[in-house]
Amino acid sequence: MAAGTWNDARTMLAEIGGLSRFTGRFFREAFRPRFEWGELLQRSYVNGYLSFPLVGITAFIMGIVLTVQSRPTLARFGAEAMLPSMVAISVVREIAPVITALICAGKIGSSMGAELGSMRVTEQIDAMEVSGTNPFRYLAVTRIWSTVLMVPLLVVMADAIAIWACFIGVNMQRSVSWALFQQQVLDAVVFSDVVPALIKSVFFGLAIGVVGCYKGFHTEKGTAGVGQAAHSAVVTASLLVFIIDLVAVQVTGILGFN
Amino acid sequence: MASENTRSIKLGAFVLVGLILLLGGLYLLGTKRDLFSHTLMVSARFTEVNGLRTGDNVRYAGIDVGTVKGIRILSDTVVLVTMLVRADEARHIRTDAVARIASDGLMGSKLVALEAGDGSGGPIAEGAELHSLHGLDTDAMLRTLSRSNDNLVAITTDLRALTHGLNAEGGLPALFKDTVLVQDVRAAVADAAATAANARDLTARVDRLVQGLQAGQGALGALLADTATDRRFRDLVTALQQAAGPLLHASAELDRFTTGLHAPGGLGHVLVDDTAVTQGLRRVVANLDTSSATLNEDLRALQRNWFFRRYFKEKEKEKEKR
Repeated sequence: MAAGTWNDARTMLAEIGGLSRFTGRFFREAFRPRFEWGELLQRSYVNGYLSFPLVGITAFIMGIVLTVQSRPTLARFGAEAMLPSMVAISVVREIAPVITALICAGKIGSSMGAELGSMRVTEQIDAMEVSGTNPFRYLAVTRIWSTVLMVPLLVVMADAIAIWACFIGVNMQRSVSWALFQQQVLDAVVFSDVVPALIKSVFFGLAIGVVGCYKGFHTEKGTAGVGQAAHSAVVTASLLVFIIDLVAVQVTGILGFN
Repeated sequence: MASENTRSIKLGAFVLVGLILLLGGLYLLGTKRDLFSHTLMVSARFTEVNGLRTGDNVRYAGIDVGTVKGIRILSDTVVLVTMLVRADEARHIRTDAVARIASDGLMGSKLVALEAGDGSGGPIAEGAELHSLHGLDTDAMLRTLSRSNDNLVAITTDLRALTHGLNAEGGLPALFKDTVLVQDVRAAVADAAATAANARDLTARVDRLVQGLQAGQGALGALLADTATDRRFRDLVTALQQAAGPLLHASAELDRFTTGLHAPGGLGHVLVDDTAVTQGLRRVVANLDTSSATLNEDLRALQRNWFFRRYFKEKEKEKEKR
């Protein structure tokens, strides 16, 4: 029992160490020319554009649900007019970044782990090394850059869609003009809500990309390992999203943004 | 290749839309916080700011005209609040405007409310310092509300006791149900109506009487209407006025006499206030009394004297004869 726990701990520490080294290698390679622009655009299209429908639908549903669920509580205090403000702040600061990151962790992280894992077990990555191509630069750096750039963009879109959904949710039971709604949202949301959320989403994108690529690059045990890499990438990336969120809350609190 | 171009276009549109949303949102937030408009910085000193924070609104005449730029403690009793006020709105705000800490509704955030003064000052300029006023303290309001509630409870308790007393047996409802009382009230009302009718009749009679007097009817009317009587009365008054002059003179003389009588050295003063004279007079009276007694005794002795005895006997006989 104790030996099993020790082995699990060792495995976990090895994962953390390997992930850290992989991240360090990304930062070493990320700013060196020459960039693989074509692959970066391709990955951005896949990770960003193709993820937008899923993120958009989820954000819309979250905006409506949050509005409808919050209304009775606020109505009990006679503060129903504060619904747009409350939902907007919740969405911008927390809901949109975290939900988007979790969707990306599920969709992008798993696809990266599976794709790169397949390339690893079919020795395509080894072949690239043999042919003189740097597989890390071509495969990992472009993918990680794409998630770093696309996740914040998806978060901004999720913010906009969720707030629009909130407007629909508010108007489901009472009539509020778009001008008044917009005024209430802009009164409530400040830069200290938006900027930390965007910075946080950059780290979410970095974590999703790094974990997905790391799991794919270190796939073992044939095709069974591919599925495990995809699964592990989703779980680890999701866990990291929550850890980064926790750290971000503490840091923004210390900096006085809360 | 065509597929790759399509993907690039889609990705470009996606990125463009995302960037527009991001920059548009940031621009709207910046506009709301006056980052892109010309502003004036003004300040006000408060003893406390009741939880005011940087970024809270500055409101003038119910319109948001700026934001709080900074809050700084200057001393143990002075807090300096600096505000950014949009230049367009600032030209309507005078230097005699008063700043106070207010609240955006009962549950809303704090704000600085600028209230117009008497309009004597000029428009505010960069760096102007406004006068401040203590705002409404929510705690004080709640304390007052608590006292009002206590008073309300006391009032409702008294009211309940009062209504309970009224509803009790013999209370007001019982009075309404008392038929005897109702009959008494009706009788009283009927008496009051009769009294009013009598009073009206009496008033009419008095009116007729006065009209008759004015028309010279009856003895009193004839007297009032008689011009000869009126003339005689006027003559009487004139005679009285003429007689009043000598009377006044006589009265003045009498007054002067009595004044002299009571003046120091006057007869009245000597008799009343001079104790020496009084004592002397008393002695004189006593001596007179003694002398009269002695004289009386001498006269009695004289009556018995043989020389005068015959005279007194004849005097007695004459008295008896009468």
